[in-house]
Amino acid sequence: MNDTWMTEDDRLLAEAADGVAAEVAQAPPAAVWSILAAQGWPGLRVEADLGGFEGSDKAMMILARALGLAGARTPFIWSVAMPAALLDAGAAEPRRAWRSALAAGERRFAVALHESAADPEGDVVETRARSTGDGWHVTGAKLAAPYVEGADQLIVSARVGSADEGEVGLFMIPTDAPGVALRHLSLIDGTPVSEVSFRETPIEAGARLDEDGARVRVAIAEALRLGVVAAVAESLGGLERALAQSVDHLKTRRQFGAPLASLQVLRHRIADMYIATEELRSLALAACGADLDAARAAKVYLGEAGVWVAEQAVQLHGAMGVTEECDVGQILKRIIVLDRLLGGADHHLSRLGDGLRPDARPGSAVG
Amino acid sequence: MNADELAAFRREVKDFLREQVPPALAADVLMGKAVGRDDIMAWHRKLYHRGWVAPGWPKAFGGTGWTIVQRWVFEEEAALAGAPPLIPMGLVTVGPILIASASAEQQARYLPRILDGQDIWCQGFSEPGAGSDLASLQCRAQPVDGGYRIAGSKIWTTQAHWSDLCLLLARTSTDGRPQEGITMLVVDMTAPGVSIRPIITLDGMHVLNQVFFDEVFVPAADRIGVEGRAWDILKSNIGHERVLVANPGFAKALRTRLMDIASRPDRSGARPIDRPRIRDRIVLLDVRLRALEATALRVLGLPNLPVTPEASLLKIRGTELQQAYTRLIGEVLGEASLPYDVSALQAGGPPDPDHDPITPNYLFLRKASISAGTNEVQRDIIARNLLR
Repeated sequence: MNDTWMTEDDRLLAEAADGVAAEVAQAPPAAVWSILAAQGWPGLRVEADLGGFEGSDKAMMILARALGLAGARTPFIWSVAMPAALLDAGAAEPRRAWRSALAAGERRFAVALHESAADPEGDVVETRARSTGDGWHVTGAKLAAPYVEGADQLIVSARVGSADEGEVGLFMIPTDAPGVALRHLSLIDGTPVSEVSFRETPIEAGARLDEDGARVRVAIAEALRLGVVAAVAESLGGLERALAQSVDHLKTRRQFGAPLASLQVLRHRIADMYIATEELRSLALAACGADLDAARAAKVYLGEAGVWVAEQAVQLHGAMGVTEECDVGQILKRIIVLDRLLGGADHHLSRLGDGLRPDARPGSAVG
Repeated sequence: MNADELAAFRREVKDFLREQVPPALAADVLMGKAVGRDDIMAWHRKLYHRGWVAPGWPKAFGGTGWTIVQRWVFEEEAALAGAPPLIPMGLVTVGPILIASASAEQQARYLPRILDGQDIWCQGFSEPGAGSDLASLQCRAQPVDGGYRIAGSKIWTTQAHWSDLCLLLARTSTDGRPQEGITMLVVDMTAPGVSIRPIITLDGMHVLNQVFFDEVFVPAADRIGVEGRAWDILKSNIGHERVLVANPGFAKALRTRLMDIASRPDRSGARPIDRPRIRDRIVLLDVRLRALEATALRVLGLPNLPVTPEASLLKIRGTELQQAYTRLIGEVLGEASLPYDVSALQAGGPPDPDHDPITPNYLFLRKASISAGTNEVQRDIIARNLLR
């Protein structure tokens, strides 16, 4: 498979990322963040003068893909990619402080925005932040959010004031603050998630990230965009691994006196898996440095074709494919999770469809 | 060529197309109507005078010397502008083969007449018993005094009925491996013993033919390359067609047609685009179109692209997308897509949006996944590469 989609610099980054991802894949979950932090990964999207390395979308794609290739489970999407965008919502000074804290990796952030299963965009916000004069009291509940367990701070959206139309602000809330209740769950692939609720949780005035809500919507949309691109890129890595394992299996497994690779129905299946995987790579690349619609298109294709590739990898492995010890099954689990988090294919499909109507906002059609 | 130069090139192409493609003809082409030989050849001559008629040829032979990326841009813009597709055989297949393998005398005799449009060529490769499997072809070229005598038949011969010359593959020997003993010859279509049977495709149109050769004499001077070695010539000269057929320009033009139809009130007065299910299906194709374009962008620069699995990927997805668009346009039109009116298919008539010839277009385009190496053959190529 060609790697001409990477420049020479990209290849160096990918090699380094493969090394880190391999180490993470072997590490106990509690050690994962400190490995990433030691390698500077939390600073991926942070300015150089704040200790980050100002990575582009494509650099993020390369790191996330490396995690998928290695089968490494990390909070990368929710504690690196998305917080970088959310921490952009605020005024100059607290913004710099939070971003350098992210880059240093000394504190881990998690993101708790969603309140309605029908709303992966985070538009529905009923959590309230009531001003107490020198701070806020936050009350409300968020749907299960990934990697809250072990995080130091939650980035939470809450409506300011009491009116339904009040502005939405972003708040930094310590996970051990009074009135924070966490209910921990584990997803099918082992990803830790937590339902989060707040009851009159007191936080100080400086814990509000934005000034007046003006940039919150943009920041949340950008966090979604980065999260989606990272999720697609990690999926791409997983699918590349599943494809390579399927190729090996077809070449080595013999049945009826011949290698499976001699059977045309399987040869064509693997060709279609290759095509879908390469197209997903193309869409992930096209989403780098592009608008939210480009990310949505990639996420749609993850659901439409990426999941199919993972399913076929299980199918081609026969009965071995459905056992816990076979890697392709673990990849399928991860792909299913990444497909459904951050909005599934149907959600993003319908958002793209809304943009098609002649009277809809411009600029959403194919360019 | 960097991005700025490429953008400037694209502008130059766009400007030329806007000035030179007659608007009425462009409207007919974009509507999927069949363009006659005179209109096609008039466009051919305009491109010839601009120096752009043979993008795939080296400059020394009258080509443009364009990179594959420039060719792609040109084909895309031409499709979007409604430029009529040229008669492809001489320009796409025959020219590059003659440039690679013919004698200087043959090149001087044939190439200028391809460029200026004096000669139309067809390509006599496939046979009733040999489609994708060219090694098993049967048409005989019996060596005789001063040349060869051809006996046999060729099929799926595009525009043979318009052609002056045919680039023929015929068997001069049955010894050795099946690929060996095949010889490449140039046959004068007016020679005694050549006859043509039209083959009507599902759209009711006549593009394809079967050609019969009944003891047709071909002088030895009209043999291309060494006797029995045509396979070597072919191996290194096919594949560009595979890449170019996937050009998203055509799919994008079909998308524009789809959006026009979906955004207009249908016979019930409702706009199809207001139905979520229609929008979803358009978006699914949009996603595939984005994937095709993004894939093309990153693989077009690959060395030896025509023989890579990426070329097969482009061919499969490009043709599938063309088929999917024509099918969806027909579904959006519903029963209005069903009446068949052959006059609605011919360019030059009055514009009539109520007689969109989408169903004939759809039926004709079933060939897209069959010609230039079936999509199954392309999957074989990908699998061979992955599983070797």
